Amino acid sequence: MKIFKLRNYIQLASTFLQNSSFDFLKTKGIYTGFLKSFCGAGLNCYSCPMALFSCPLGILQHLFSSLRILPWQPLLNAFLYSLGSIFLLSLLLGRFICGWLCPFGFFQDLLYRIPFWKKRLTFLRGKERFLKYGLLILLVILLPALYITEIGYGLLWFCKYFCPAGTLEAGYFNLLLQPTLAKGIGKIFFLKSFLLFLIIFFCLVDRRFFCKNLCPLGLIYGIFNGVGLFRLRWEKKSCTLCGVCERVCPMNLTIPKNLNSVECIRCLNCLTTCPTKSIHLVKSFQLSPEHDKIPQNIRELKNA
Amino acid sequence: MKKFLKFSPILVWLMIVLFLIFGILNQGHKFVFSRGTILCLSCMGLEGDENF
Repeated sequence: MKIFKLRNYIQLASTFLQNSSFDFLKTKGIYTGFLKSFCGAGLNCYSCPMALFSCPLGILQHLFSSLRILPWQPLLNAFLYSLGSIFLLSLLLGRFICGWLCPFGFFQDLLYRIPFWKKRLTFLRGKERFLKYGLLILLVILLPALYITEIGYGLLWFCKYFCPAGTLEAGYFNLLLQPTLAKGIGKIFFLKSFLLFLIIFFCLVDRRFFCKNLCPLGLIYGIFNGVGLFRLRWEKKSCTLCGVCERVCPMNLTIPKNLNSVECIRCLNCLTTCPTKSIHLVKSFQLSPEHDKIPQNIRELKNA
Repeated sequence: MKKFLKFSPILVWLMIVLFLIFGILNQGHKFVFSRGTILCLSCMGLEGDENF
């Protein structure tokens, strides 16, 4: 079976597994069982009535927003457990989570399959990738930690004002189940709905637009691409510099320079389509240090 | 310095596993459970009081 077909099946299975609570049919509320003690893999809102696991990004914001209200000991324990579980998953899989397990990533892949005007979107001279750094630092860490309400608790800024997964999975779904919640609809709901439809439009046009430019969770997973279990290795000897790998990369990466960068979502499209099989997936300890010293991309090598 | 850099991934692994073990032993998962089981109005984009 070709890898990209297998990847689609795994994405489907993961989306279903992470959203397979049917308690809402009885309770009209969210799942409140034991599995909510664990963070899920990828962006999947925990307030979605079908979600089994907690959202790692939501939990991180809760941690930072609880800084001033929780006593230090429970806060430290919460920090150790949450960071430990999120980082351990990142170390084990890195951005494989984005490419293979994330429900919102799967949603974007499905959107891109819809026939529509297709283009690589660059609107800040190629610097738009850095937006996710700003979102992580500002909306996930700094603002929840620094801005507090009158009860001393911070706000979940990313969830409240930005997260498209929350609007889609939790917002509309819960409003359908519990129409009384509609009294809470206000400017923020319209802002989030506008952002959601804008992101859906951009994902129709450009592959994985949200992952590429806006996802702070993908950035956290990506930081561990360099020290995780698996890495990609490029063989200079057998490479014919045809450039197919760069054309099939959904993240528009320069190869081989960015094979193990923060941006690579490990979809393995490059590995599958390479006609000379010059890209391999290897365990980190099988790599020699020389393999990390590959500064060129395919075009530069061709011109050399 | 080179030796330190060579072993830094192992240190990262060790540190994170220790984080998780200490977190579990000290009931850190209760925090995640308590937050994950509340219907989050912020996530939905709705306005109102949330009691954590």
